Amino acid sequence: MNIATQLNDEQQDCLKEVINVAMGQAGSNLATLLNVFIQLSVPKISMISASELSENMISLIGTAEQVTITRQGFYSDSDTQGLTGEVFVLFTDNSFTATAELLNYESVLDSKSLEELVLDVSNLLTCACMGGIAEQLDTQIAYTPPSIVTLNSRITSVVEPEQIRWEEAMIMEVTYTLEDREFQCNLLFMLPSDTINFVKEFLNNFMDSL
Amino acid sequence: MNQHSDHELISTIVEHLNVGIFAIDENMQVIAWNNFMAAHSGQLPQDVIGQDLFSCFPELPEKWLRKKIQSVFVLKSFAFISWEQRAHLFRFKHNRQLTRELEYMAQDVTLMPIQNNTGKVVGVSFCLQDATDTCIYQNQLEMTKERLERASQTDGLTGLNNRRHWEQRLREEFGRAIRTKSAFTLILLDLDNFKEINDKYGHLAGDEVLRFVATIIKNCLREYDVCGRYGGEEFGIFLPNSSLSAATIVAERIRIAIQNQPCQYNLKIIPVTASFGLASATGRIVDHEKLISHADIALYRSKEQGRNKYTIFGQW
Repeated sequence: MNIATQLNDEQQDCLKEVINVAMGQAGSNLATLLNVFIQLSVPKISMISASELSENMISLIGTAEQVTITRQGFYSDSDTQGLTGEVFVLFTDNSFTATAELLNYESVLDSKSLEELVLDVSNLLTCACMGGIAEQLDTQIAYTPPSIVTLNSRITSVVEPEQIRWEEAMIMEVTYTLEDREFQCNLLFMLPSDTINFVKEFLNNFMDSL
Repeated sequence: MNQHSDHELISTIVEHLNVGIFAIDENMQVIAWNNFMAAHSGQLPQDVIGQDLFSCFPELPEKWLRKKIQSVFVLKSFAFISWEQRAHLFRFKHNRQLTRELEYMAQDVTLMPIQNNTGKVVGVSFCLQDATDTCIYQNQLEMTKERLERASQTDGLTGLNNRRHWEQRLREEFGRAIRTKSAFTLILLDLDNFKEINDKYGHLAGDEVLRFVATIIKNCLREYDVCGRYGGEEFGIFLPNSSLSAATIVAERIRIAIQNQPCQYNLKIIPVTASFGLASATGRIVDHEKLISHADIALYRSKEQGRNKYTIFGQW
């Protein structure tokens, strides 16, 4: 692990604050859109290497029978090197009936509609969070379309290291819960080295300005 | 050459891009409509600009799409529609080869926020891309995979299941029979004097005999019986949920048909008969290999006892 890319304690605390504000905003926006109360966990931040991602996901999945995982990339839309990375959304043993209703899907979903719904929910959560973070970090981002890694299956192995473009990244785990609707999922945000440097720079400037 | 400003140039390019570009405001009214959209929809900019999008295109899934558009306004984010989940958004004709599966242009659509200088989202722009080629290639790929899979399960000469696939199916069905405690019977049949047929009439004739027998077997089986080419001149049939007496009737039907129906090759009628071995799964047999072994022993006895007959394991 490259020590240089890690954040020190002060930077980490600052980042957590920034993320909290971003998540608050994201939760509020989602609540407006969906007319339900959304609960967001406090983000867990750590550094991992590409080979550890699979392990990480498997521990989150636990003994769940039906696992759905999506992935989506985001990239800097401004002229400076900014936020670039990807997000994995993990759904375990979920019923999608509640979200189908919230997003105006039919109540009976065929396989294609279920895929579409899963991608939609992932996109909403990803964009809400990343959008919030980008706004706090005063930068613009754009998104690539989400894709399904696995749909409603038992997991034996998840994302192989060869399928990942970065060697190490900062990972932020956030859990979303839809109040009263039995829906929960985990988001894993991956920020590779270049992005971490960008974030560090922002945090330093931010702390200096206080 | 005219001095176009940067904006005019981009505008001209967007206008004539081979991609659909249009935009709506917060009241769902169309505020931009490029040439691609006009050409494919048959509706010119003057027909749609200022109009409600859904009034102009009643085929759009309004409730669902409104929600998607709203998400862009509220979250200031992108939204995506992919041909892989939704065949098309707009009913536009495509100009590729005519295929039964693909009536309209396959589309990938991206929705993006249009923000004013205070950061408020005042409109949504749509980028619609023709994904018909990808869709066609994907379908071809799926069909090829299916053909490959079937080919890996099939015996080339007879068209029956090959040994590997038949044994795999046997294993699965036998397991099910054990779990549900239901009847299960196996037939092995082997052509009589096949080597002599090959020597006398030639190998091509031998191939024809195998095809002839395979056809007879298929015609004599019932819906859930499964046959396969087990060896050079050997065939296997398993009959789920079948008693010995039912299986015996099937075996006899096949034996008589092989014996009586003429097998013709090059204007010659080749006499063909086969020997049969039958075995039934009783409570004591727990694996399919044992069942095959019993049928094999019974088959051997049929050969010993003069051929062109069936023998039931344990009944001699």
